[in-house]
Amino acid sequence: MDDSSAQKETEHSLRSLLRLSDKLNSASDLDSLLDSLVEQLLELTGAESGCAGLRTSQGMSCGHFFLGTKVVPLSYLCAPGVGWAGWLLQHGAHYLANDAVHDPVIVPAVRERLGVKSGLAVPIIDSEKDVIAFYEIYNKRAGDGFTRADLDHCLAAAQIASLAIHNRLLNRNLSALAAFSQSLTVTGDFDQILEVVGSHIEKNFQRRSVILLPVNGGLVPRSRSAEFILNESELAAATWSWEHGQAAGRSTEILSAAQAQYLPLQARGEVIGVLGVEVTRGAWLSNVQRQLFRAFVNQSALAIERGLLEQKMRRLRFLEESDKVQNAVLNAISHDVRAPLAAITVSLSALMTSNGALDQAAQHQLLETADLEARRLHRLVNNLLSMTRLETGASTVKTEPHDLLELVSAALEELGASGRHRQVSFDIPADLPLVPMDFGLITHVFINLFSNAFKFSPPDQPVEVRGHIIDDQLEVLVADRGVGVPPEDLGRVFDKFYRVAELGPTNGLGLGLAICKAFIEAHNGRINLENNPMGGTIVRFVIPFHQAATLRVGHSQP
Amino acid sequence: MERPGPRILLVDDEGSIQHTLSTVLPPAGYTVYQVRNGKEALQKVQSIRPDLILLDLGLPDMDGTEVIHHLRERAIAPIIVISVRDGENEKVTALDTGAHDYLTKPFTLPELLARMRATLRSVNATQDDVFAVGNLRVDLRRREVLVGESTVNLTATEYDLLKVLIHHAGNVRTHHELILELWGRTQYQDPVHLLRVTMSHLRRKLQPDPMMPRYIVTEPGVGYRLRTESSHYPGNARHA
Repeated sequence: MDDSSAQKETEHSLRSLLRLSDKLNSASDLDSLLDSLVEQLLELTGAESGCAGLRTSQGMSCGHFFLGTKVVPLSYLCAPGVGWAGWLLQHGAHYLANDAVHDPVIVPAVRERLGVKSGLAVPIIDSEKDVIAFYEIYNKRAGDGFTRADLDHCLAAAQIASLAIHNRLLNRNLSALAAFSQSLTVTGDFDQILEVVGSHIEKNFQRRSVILLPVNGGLVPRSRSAEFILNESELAAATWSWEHGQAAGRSTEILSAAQAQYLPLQARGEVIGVLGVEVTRGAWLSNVQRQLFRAFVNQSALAIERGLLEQKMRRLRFLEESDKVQNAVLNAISHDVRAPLAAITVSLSALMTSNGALDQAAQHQLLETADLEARRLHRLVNNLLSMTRLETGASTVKTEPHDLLELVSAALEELGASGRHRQVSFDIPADLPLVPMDFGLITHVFINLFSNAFKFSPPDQPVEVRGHIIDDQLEVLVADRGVGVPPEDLGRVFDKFYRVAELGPTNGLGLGLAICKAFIEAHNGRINLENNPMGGTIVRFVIPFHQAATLRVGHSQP
Repeated sequence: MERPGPRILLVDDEGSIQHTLSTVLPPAGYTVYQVRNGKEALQKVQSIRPDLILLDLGLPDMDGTEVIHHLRERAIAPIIVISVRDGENEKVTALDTGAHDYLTKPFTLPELLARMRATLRSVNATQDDVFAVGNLRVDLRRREVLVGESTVNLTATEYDLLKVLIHHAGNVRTHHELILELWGRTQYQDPVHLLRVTMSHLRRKLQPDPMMPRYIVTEPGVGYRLRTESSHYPGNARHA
């Protein structure tokens, strides 16, 4: 080769390297970057085919195979030491084989698929001396394999690629971190925060993880990947990390027999928990990934702290609420229990001490009052009991198929005197099937709804009951023509101890509708209240059931 | 001289109930013997030889079911359980163990008296030919059912169901008992459902107006009861 042709050669390769640099820097993502890298190298060296790939925590991911400009759909993973890529990883140096046919290292599948006779594999090493990627080129079209000059060009190309890939990896970190933050921000629930941390760690680092939080002076696993084994040596390492605020376990100097490495989760200088991440043999994190990992750990710590604070806040708010509720209960009970008791006591004492001064009608009146009030008291206690039992889980809904009419009838009976003189109209089809309901609970619902309807509507106005099956649901309407509910109160009528102020302070605990709601929801149903366009209110509830499973009442039977 | 009227053994540890019942039952024609715990009940039941036992399940010394069991061994007198416990399982257990009926506290005196009369009548097996309650009138000899002035047409099954309930009028009959009496050992796929549907038909025929008190009352999870006297209805002033 003479001087001028050597100069031309050098010029050509410099231009090629410049183009390579431009192409790599303008690549939109890592995949297209690796594609252009292979394409440019084939042009630069005059090789027939080649491939490129990134380092992963498990080894080298080989992909981006090209035969000329044709993409070869091939991808596999080389563990450290396996294939040329694995060799690069293990040795941190390039691999040149001009007799690939007899080469002991090359992956046979690649040799066969691409007909490799000679090859050059080059690691891409970042500024921290980590192998972060690689490429291989096969079969130089002219001459007897790859030359010293080819190697120099390739090493120069690797350096150019190194910076571009490093930058892309940093970008990828940023977007992974952004996605992680985003997921954490939209997560309200504490358990979900823990889950998000675990799933993002698994996605970005292919590692199983565990989060341990202190409970009563000890560490308790709160969220862990499936198959993460937490035995005593793991717990010991986790506890050490928690107590000392330093990493422990695998790949550290403390309790390194553990399968995972445990990192303290620190927020505001305090260790609030421990993150354990499984370390498998041969797995690897690049410096870039380690940076991302550290950022993840910090982010997780902050999110978990925020979650813990929110939990604390909620608990405080709940205590405040339950304090309020307790007061309301006391007030309401002292009113609603005392009022009927007072009526009973007065009536009975009047009868006892009358000495014949009262005529029979008056006596009867007093007795009826005592009876009515005793029943009211009984209902109140039943309501409170059923509600408490449901809320504390002490009782469950016991459904049996029942005839809606019978429940309505039972409720009216229970109300006794107060409903006796009212006009109640019914619109319930004769062939309405038996609907699975808890007799006691739904009867209570009717008692409460009727009791409200009677209380808040004039005695000469009708109360209407409608019952229908619509779309596998029993829909029931109870409508009155009473005073209605002010629109601003509509949203709260189902709250416990909520009473519509306009209707005055008397009459009831403000529990009736709350109880209805609890009982209907215990049947997986829904209840709502709206103002009746004709005046008064309409309460509507639905209870789902499967008609297919229910015999219809209207049919004849054996 | 022996005191008159049916002899009632009242087993209850609550002073107020003891006091009230021993005040109101004698004027209704009953002789009341009071004991306050299970042991005492078992000791005295044979010497008192009651016609009827009123038993509270929540006794201080023994489990209620156990008391029923031992009482049944010692005496033929029917037992009516009076209890604040209103769980279905407790009712069914008490009935299965041998109680004749079950009354949940609080109850009214007319309710109690009706149950007592019904129970005494059913064990004495004196069956009238005509059963009447409220507007309902059933002539068992002529198989005629009247609500007010009008005749009600019942299917054979509906009529049989009504007849069984009349036979045990005032007392609860469990699903199991009713199925056995209506269909014997014939196996139906879902006999309880069949019973419910038959009952629903019967009810609608006897009592189309939900504003009126019910003749047949559902005991959720347990069975049904045919009421006997209008005084026995809740809201007892309704017909006053």
